[in-house]
Amino acid sequence: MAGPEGARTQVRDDMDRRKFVIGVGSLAAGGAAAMGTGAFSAAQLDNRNVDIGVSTDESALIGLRAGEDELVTQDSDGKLDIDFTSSNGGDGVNPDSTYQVGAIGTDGESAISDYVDEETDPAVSTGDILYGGAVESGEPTIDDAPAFSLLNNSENDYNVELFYDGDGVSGVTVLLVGDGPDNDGAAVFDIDESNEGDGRLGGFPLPAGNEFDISMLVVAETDAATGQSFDEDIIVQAGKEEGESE
Amino acid sequence: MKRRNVLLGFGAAASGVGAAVGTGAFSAAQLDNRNVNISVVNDSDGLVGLVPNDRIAGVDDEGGKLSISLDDHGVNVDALYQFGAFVDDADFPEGELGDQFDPVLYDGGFDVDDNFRSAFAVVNQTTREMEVEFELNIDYGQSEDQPQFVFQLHDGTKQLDAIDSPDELTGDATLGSGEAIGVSFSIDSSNSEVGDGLTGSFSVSARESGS
Repeated sequence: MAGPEGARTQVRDDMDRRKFVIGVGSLAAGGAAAMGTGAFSAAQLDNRNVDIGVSTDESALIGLRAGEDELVTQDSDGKLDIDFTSSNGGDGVNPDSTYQVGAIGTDGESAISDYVDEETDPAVSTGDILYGGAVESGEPTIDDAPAFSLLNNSENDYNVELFYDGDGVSGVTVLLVGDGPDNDGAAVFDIDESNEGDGRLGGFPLPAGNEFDISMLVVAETDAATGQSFDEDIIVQAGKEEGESE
Repeated sequence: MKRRNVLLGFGAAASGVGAAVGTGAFSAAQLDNRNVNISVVNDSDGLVGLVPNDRIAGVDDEGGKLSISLDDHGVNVDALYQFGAFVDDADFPEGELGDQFDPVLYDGGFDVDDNFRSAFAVVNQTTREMEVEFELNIDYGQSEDQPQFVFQLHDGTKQLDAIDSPDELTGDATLGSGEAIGVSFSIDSSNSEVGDGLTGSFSVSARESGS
């Protein structure tokens, strides 16, 4: 993975902070409608249990699970970490290069194609897909081999949104290509040099017990400025805001 | 739904102890089956009701008692979770995570039957006005890095009180007959490590106003 010495664009995408909004909904459960008739002077209800654990990203209510690639791991703090460095010395992506983490699949290729059509000056094309695209049948899809997955480990259905909270890097485009459980095709969000923290992937539905799989494509152009890095946070927002104004 | 009726038969026995037996006296009487009905009901149905919002993760009725249980799948390390809507963000957690966080706010009223947005509710299901105190008893253990929390007590339009760790662990509210307050809370694990957590209990005390 090591680029030429001294000509190196570092793409780091550390996920240091994420935010989770666990939602709200209208409730069906009644049970409290009937008014008691008795009066009493005092009541005490003791020992209602409170037990709230702090979990690793993979096992928490809204989970993040690293895929198989060495660039995406759960770090020693229990947080998902996307870090384009290798223990073997590789540190970043080269100018005029494409790196892919995770498979893209037919849905992913279709989503990238739509993305390319919508962009005025796209830095990415479907030709950048290195493996697991629709180029050859039988290749793995995003859910076969994602870079990482977003998990709903709760009993409630949520809408989930994911965005990068930082500035982009000149000449480098990062695409996150996600495929949810709804068979509704994949979605793309990009982090590029014009990114001002407004690139979002979401809010896609993530029903209880399901996962949303995400692969990455990093495209560096010839004039990519070396020495820069993505070193901000990806934020995960999960919520349910039925009937609420945003 | 566990509901047990406890029926106690009063045996009011007046035994003839006295020696003097007047006219119309009797030596013994037994009046059976004067009814006393004290049901044990789940928290939702108690005179002071605790009603979980079943749309909120981890807030459930366990064995008839309201329970906040998020230990199997807990909150992520270095994360901020909100459970139930707050009416305002005046006491919402600040700091780096809080600044990024758009709390879910709703101040359009509150009703457990059709507009229930808090994590759970305390309902006065009596005919009297009650003073209610909500108290958290959290075992902080040895770690100073336990998750921090805010519990907001509100009436659907305004905050009534806030419980704010680590120091303010009680909150008060007055509930008229039939009224409910919503309780929503946030958990901030930004200083915590995997394996930390909050273990303890909460209690609700209710006292008739003026008593």
